[in-house]
Amino acid sequence: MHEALQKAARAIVDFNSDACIEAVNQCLDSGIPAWEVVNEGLSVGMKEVGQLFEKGEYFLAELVMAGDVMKDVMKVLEGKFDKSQKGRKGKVILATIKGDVHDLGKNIVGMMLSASGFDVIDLGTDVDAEVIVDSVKKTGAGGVGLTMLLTTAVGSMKEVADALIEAGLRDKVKIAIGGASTSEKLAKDLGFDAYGDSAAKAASIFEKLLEIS
Amino acid sequence: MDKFERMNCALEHREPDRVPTISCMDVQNYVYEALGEQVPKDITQYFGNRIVAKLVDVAAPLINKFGGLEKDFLNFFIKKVEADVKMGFDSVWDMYAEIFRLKDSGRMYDIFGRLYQIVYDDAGNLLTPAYMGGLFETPDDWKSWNKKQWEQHPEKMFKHNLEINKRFGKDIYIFGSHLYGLFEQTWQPFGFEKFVRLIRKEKSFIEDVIEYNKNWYLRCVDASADAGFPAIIYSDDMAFKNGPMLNPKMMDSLFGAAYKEITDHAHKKGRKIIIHTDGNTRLLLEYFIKWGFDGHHSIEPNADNVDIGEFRDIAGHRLSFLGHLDITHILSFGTREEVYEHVQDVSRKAGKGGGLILGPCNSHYEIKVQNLRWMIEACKEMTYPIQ
Ligand code: B12
Repeated sequence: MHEALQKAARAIVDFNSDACIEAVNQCLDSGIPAWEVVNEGLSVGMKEVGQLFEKGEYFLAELVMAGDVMKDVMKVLEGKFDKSQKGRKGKVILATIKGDVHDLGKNIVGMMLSASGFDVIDLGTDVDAEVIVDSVKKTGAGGVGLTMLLTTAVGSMKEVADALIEAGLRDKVKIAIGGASTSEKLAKDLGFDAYGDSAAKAASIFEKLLEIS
Repeated sequence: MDKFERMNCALEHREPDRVPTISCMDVQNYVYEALGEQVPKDITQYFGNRIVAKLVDVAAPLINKFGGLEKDFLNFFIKKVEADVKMGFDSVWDMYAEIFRLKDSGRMYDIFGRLYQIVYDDAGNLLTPAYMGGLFETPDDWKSWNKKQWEQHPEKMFKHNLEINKRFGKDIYIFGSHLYGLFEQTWQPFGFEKFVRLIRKEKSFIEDVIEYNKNWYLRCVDASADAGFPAIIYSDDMAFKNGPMLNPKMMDSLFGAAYKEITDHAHKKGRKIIIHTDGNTRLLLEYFIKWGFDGHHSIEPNADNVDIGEFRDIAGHRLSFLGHLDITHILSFGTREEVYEHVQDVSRKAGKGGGLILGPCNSHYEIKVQNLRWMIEACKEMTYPIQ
């Protein structure tokens, strides 16, 4: 791994925004694209924070701190995704599902999608199934991206699937899911159309699902 | 032994005649049922009516100006101790919490900057409002908040405590207490995420807030000690079901010195001081001792990894243990046999050598008066030496 990517990951684990921003700038200067900085640097740091939390070495406050560093850094990265394509490829609704407030991953997915030409409607976190259904109705979006990091929120995923079927909208939208506690299998079990393990893939997933060439 | 000898004995880790009891009950249905009285009506019970609610939404500031719920609250705190005396508890955690003001018909705020939802039990009685978040976004919000009532609070607490002590001080062993401690008082008016962000980015501001809160809290210690209460419960929730909210090391570096000053102050006044927090506190026990606390209340039996026998092994007789009885089932829905068995089991695990005072680990409206009576009976039969 590029040294600056490692530095960026390390700075997340140490909750050091300044060091992280410096490392990210180094990455960009040496020609690493923004999406790779997120995937190979920042996300690696976040995973380690999660592991330290699991081991009982980090506590809730440390999760918040790491999330906070990530937010600081994303402000720097935001402008680095190419925005010239905005809106050309159709509308995608994004939401972190009910019971879950993790939004860093979803926000990155949002940035990637708009950078590659989608019009993104971000409904935020802890979103009710009905709100998602309403938004599909109102906006006529062709894609829905759902984020879930808490295993305990899986019931809410199912609620979204059921609510869309009930509203007669299921065959009008394509649904992709992502986030730490989702998987290919979960997507299949719930009858969703795709699973993505990184924001970098989000654009190609929706391009495929919405048949955009 | 009388209640006072029994409590002192237990708190000093000597074996009393039997295991003593403590009440932390502060819900209306318990208090008035124990007293054999009707729950009195307060204005919040009419908030379900749409027209009343609309009026309150507009008139909340005016209602606050004319004393709002102050009388109802103060009267309730007196009734609460009266109920515990009547039930036959050895000791009571007397919480002073005249801090709530109406925001509108669905919400309250407090004089320290928290926002709450107004909540009721199944019978429509007002419960302790549920914390929803903080009113402060930035350090400037905290700095510019009008702290007049905040500053007047310890003096009002003292007067109220004097009244309680005059009425009940001979009948029951009273732990004086303020609803909130330093940690809660520091993070809750901002909300947890903002608080953590401030630790990271404006640590000296957070240190100033802790210093202010600590100095203020010392006056609350005086308000209990000078009113004549024999001991203090320092209430400061700092753990979830699965463990501490902050890394204990971080907790120590931010709050440790202030906690030590508070416990030293109580000790100088000849008062023992017990720390209350819910949750799994296993990793905090050594810190409680380091910070100078004499005992620990709650020791929630259903939190992860909480076993009072193991807690005794860790803390030995450096901490007394208070509360601990299960409220999710045994004190709420359990049979007489289950209550007896639970009291016996806990006493055997952690009662040897004193240092154990039993009661519900928390207050909840599902807890039954009958089950508390069984609990008190069972403790009366739990004589020393424990078999
Ligand atoms: C930061 C963090 C927090 C922060 C969140 C801040 C925020 N604004 O998001 C805070 C402190 C608030 C938090 C709270 C909690 N957290 Co947390 N948190 C984390 C942590 C460390 C990192 C998450 C993160 O941001 N990762 C970085 C981003 C970039 O990755 P990502 O979200 O996975 O997204 C990427 C991909 O998955 C994908 N993707 C995401 N969505 C989508 C959608 C589509 C359509 C596609 C295609 C792709 C895609 O693209 C993204 C970019 O590449 C994880 C650890 C981990 N291993 O994930 C724990 C973790 C998720 N949290 C956990 C827990 C337990 C909690 C709490 C319950 C803790 C508590 N005791 O209160 C609370 C829950 C609050 C709630 N109701 O949601 C557990 C979950 C365990 C489980 N399986 O259920 C984890 C796994 C930690 C652990 N190892 O135990 N947390």
